[in-house]
Amino acid sequence: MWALWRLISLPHVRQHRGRVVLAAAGIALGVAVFVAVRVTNVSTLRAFARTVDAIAGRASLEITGYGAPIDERLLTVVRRTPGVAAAAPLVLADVLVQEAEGAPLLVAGIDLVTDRAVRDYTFAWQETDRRDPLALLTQPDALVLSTRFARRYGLRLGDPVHVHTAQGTRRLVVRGLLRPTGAAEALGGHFAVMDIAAAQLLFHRLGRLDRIDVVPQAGFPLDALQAALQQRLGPGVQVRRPQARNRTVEKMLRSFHVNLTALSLIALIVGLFLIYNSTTSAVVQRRRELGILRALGVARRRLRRLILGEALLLGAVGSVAGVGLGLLLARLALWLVAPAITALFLREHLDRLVLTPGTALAGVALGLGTTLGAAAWPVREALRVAPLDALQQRGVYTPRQAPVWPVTLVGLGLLAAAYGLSQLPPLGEVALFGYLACLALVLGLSCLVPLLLRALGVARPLLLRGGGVEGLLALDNLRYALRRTTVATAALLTSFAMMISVAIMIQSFKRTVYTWVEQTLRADLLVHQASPGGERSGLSLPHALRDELLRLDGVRDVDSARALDITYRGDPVLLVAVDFDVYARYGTYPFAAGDPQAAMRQVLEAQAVLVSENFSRRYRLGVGDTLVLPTPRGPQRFAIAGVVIDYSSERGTITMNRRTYVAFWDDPQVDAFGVFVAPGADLDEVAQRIQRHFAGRYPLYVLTRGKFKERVLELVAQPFWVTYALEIIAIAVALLGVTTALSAAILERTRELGVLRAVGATRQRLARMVLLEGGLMGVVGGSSGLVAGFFLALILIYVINRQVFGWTLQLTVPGWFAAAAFVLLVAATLAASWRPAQQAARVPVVEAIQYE
Amino acid sequence: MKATLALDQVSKEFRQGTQVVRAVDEVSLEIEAGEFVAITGASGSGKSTLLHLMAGLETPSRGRVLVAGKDLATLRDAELAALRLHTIGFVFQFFHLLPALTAEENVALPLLLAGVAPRQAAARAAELLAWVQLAPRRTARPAELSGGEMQRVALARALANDPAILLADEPTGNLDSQNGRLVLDLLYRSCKERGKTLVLATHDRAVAARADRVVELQDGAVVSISAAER
Amino acid sequence: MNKSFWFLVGSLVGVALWLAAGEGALLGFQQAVPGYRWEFPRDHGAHPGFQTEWWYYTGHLHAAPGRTFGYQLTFFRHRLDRPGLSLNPSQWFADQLYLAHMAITDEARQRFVYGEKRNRAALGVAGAAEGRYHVWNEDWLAQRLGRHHFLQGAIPGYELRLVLTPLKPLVLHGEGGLSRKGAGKGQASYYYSFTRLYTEGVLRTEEGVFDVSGLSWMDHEFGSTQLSEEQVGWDWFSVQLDNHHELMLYHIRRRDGSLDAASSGTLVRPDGSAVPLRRDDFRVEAHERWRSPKSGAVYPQRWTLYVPRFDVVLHLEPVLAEQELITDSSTLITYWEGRVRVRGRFQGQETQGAGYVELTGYAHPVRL
Repeated sequence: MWALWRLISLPHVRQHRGRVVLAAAGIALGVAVFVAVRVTNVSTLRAFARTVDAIAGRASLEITGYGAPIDERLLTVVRRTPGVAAAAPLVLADVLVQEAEGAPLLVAGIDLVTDRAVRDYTFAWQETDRRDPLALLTQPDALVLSTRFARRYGLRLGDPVHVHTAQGTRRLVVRGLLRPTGAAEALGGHFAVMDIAAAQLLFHRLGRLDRIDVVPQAGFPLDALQAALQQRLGPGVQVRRPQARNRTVEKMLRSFHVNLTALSLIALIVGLFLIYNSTTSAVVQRRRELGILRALGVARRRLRRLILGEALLLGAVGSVAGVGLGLLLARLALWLVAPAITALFLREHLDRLVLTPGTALAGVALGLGTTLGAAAWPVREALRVAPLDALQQRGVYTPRQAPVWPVTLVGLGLLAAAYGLSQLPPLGEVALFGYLACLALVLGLSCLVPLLLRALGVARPLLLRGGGVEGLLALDNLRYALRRTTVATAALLTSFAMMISVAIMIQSFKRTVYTWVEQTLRADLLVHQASPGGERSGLSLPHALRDELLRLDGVRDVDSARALDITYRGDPVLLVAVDFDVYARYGTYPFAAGDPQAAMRQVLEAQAVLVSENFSRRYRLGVGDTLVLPTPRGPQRFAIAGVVIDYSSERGTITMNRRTYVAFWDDPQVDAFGVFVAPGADLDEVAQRIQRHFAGRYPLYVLTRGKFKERVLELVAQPFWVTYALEIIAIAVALLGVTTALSAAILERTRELGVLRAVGATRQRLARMVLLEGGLMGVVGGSSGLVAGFFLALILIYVINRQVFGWTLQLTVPGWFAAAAFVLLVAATLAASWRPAQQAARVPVVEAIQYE
Repeated sequence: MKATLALDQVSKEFRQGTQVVRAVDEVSLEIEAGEFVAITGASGSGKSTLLHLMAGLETPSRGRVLVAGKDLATLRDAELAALRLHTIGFVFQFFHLLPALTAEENVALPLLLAGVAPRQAAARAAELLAWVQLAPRRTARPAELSGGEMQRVALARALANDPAILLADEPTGNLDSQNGRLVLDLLYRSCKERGKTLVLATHDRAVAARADRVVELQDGAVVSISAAER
Repeated sequence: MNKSFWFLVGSLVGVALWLAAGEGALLGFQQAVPGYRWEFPRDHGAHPGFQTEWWYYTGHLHAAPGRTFGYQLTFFRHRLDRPGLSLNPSQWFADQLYLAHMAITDEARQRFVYGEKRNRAALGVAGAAEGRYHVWNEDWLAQRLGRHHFLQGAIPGYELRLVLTPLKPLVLHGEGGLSRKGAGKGQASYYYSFTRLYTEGVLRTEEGVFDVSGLSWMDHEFGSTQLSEEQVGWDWFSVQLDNHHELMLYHIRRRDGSLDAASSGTLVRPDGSAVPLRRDDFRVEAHERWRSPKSGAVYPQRWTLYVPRFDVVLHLEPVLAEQELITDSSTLITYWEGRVRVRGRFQGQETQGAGYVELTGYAHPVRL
């Protein structure tokens, strides 16, 4: 075997170095997309888990309120519970640091005196002397930063920093630094501590704590302790393991990678097509060599093993490279998308990518599996040819007009399957059948490509007239080298369909959300807290500011909105509290079910809520049903007064009147105020007046309704940016496929090209013929890709997104985008055909015609 | 004007490994318009290379090839292509038809390449196919044709643009004798009825016997030029 | 005694240094000055105006099957200086820190176990009452009940509950309870002791519950001073003799190896009367050294105390070399505090007894 390998394989590799590298690259790209999606996902989860662990320290249980701080006196109860070795109070707050480019920082107010029982800190000064961090107790402005954060933003001991908090802007002083161990590693170093007393005052938590971390006595059964604590503390708080939060985050992240998963599968199909093509050319080029070997008595089995071995080696190299490339891609994705994730789901600062052995192995296995699957057919076909035919190249020169009907029938079958699968309900919460429908759709349409190419025949007269004889020849080359052109065209179709479907989905998303915002947003001005950079910061504001706002000139009315992540039946959902008293005077919600007037009255006067359509769908709850929500006052029953169209959260939204909310959650904060401007008042003037009024205390970000709607659109599109990166890469892979397919076809048709030159065609005409061939592939792949993309979008919107998120999106096709993308694709295909065209032009005539 | 084909001290050398092989050795030859010249010699004596040199498919290592008075060495690729399109028709031993095209399209190919309107090209192709007695096989593809039929299509293609010179490289080499005779007849008639200059390479003495002149090659050099022994 | 005072002051000196950055360290604290009017039981309680205060118990406990244990239980109060501090209504707003150490020397098992606590007063976790004696830190407690002191403390493997009854009245050290610590102005503390407390109670161990009885010594000291730059640590000795005398001696060691002039002591007679001892009245010789494998510090061991003025020669022998406390979770001081056996001659008579020795500043200067 080794001898064969050395004699047959190595020279081939050496001779076709470029093509081999391309083929490996194709595999690599397919694997890379898969790995990148997994790595991004796993890294995000790991980073979060790391942060959870780092902050939890030795604590095995944590006690929190249901979306609200808890009474600090509970700490005494906890400490007196048998089995508790230590319990540490914690006040947590997000701030933005002005001196650190507005970077977010999680500030933990801890009892510096006792916290070491739970968490490890190494103060940076401890290596030089033995100062006690207790000194910080005496300085209410003392902030202890992680050295990583301090170094990243050039902050030093003694530097004053201005932090934006939900309670306004405060000046603190960097009084200490934490080495990057233990808790200081949380959030990639975006973590700081201060004394709990100062933190309670600063973040308006007097008498309350955000969390109690519990270290159990060694050997004490954790479940028993958890139960005992829960029983002693009552139903208004939750006692759980810190890691329980990881699962919640996993669910939150799911929305993000649900669409990516579908896309990565499709990207793999592109890879599959490409591998098929490279193996085919590898076999075709050596048909004569293989024929000689067969004639010399080498068994077919050995040759199969040899060639499959080659392919596998190529696949292995490509797969391994793909894993590395996937990491790079993930880095890019993070770079593009991290801000979106951070803003939408996590405060996590992602700076470390985690490649688990599982991910790497899965990536390699996928690459190898795809390689084997794709290589098996061409290898089989090549070895089936009789040795003598192979020697004489007869099989090549006489194109077998493979009938297109079998594959077309398979394609139709797949399309029918796609339809059938799209009608199935989700498996658990995974839209498995939706994904399968996507795959079936793409594969099915790919199977129709041969028919399409064959059908191009009707365009012959047209081409003859327009493109001359080159056009005719190009067309025929496409039609009669179906084996090769089909696959490359299908790859184009697939990758382009991917892009189009996502574009349609984004557009539909935007349109839908825009319409929704249009319907529900009534206030003239939206007031948020501003970040140091002057953007919207995500920090909340005290509801008490409402009275001040109301007193300002030109302000007619003010309502507010507060959004809180809560858990319903173990799932994260969004709770939104709105000043319905005000809101109801100006507008109403778009109701999907329930009598709007009665519902609004009920929400105002009773313990009733509105739920979003996706919430209603997910939990099968409707008007008249009752929800039991965990609140800081224990579980409470809320009647569902109506089901409304609401796109605030893909996990489901519950909306209630602020008065109801405050009664149970006792939360003084809001996320935004809506200001109704008095008739005749100038919007910008009022906006400026508001900002001026709060200057120095609260930096405010005031947007008009119109601007806000634009921002919403940006926000909606943001998470999808990474998908464009993936799509472009997939298209690049497919274009590479076109290049290889054309190159290989040229090798196969060397003699034909020689003959053409011998009968009087110029080099340019041959080049033009190949360009036309590529262009036609682009046109066929692109146009069928448009169709596939449209149907893919239908599945994404009406099956996958609906099943996973429960959303109904209005289908909106971005026509101009699609048209421009199509033109670009055809142009790109022409560009991809450039090298093969040059190759065709350089065919040596005499050698070409002298075979045999 | 009748085209003349002239070789002036033409040599062609190939490098084969470290050895230089002289395929054509100082050949000088003048062929009159309308003349039928057969080139004979053993396999590897340089017949094909000589034909390729005449068609401008190879460039001589030394010496000049003149077609219709033009030195091929001075022509650019496009001019050479035009020459092959309009002035020279080539018939290969292995036919070399384009497999994707029908017989008629194969014949029309040079016409289309020359910019003839498709309809006229089709008419001309049909006419030529009729002349080679293949009218009923117009729409057949090469895979559906016999060897003799394919070679006749190839001949029709070579005649498509009405070239002054026909070059045929062992046109009967792959045919049975009956088909070989038919093809040879057609070639002969092209020369004698249509006034083409015909240069035919063959190792078959019987074929060479019909030529006006026979040039015998051995190791690339001309060993004899003789009028046909009739 | 005195021992602990400097020790704690030193331990927290970093805080003071940082706060005041230099000389004004004592700003805002009450000072120990001559002329203090003692009043009991009020003065058993806390004196929050002073920077540092502690209640310090050491003792020797005997249990039925010939078991002997040494114990140490100490409560510290430390007031944080807070220049420019704004008031904060938070429970956790801390101007007092409460620290505590507990150690058990298990002679039979040749084991020394210790633990430490540090808390602020928030949620009543720790504290020290004013005007009456009630000091606690989590579940550790020292409290006066009538004539008796009640102690409670637990470290891994040992849980102590003791009732202590004074056999002699309290003794004021130095000049009317003002104990000088150095030549510098204000380098002093208020300091009194119960030198002989009959002790009864239970000691719960992994082996079971022991009924224990024996003798204890209690110090209560408060002040706002600190060691000077030249003073690196101290050696403190307390001895309870079977002849009903008690002796307390301490050395303050200077950077240059000499003993500070402020070193002093007290001899308590069987009738409870106290004789102050000056630097020149006594001499201490150490005969061995022991190197701690944990801290690397080298401590003197096996001493002879000479008090020529009273014709006293006492040999002190540690029951266990390893009686070192490394208190990284509270005072950040590494020190040796151990039970010793005592025998010797007292005015011509053979005598024996037990004692505690405290050695500080050997692992690192107590200053920083």
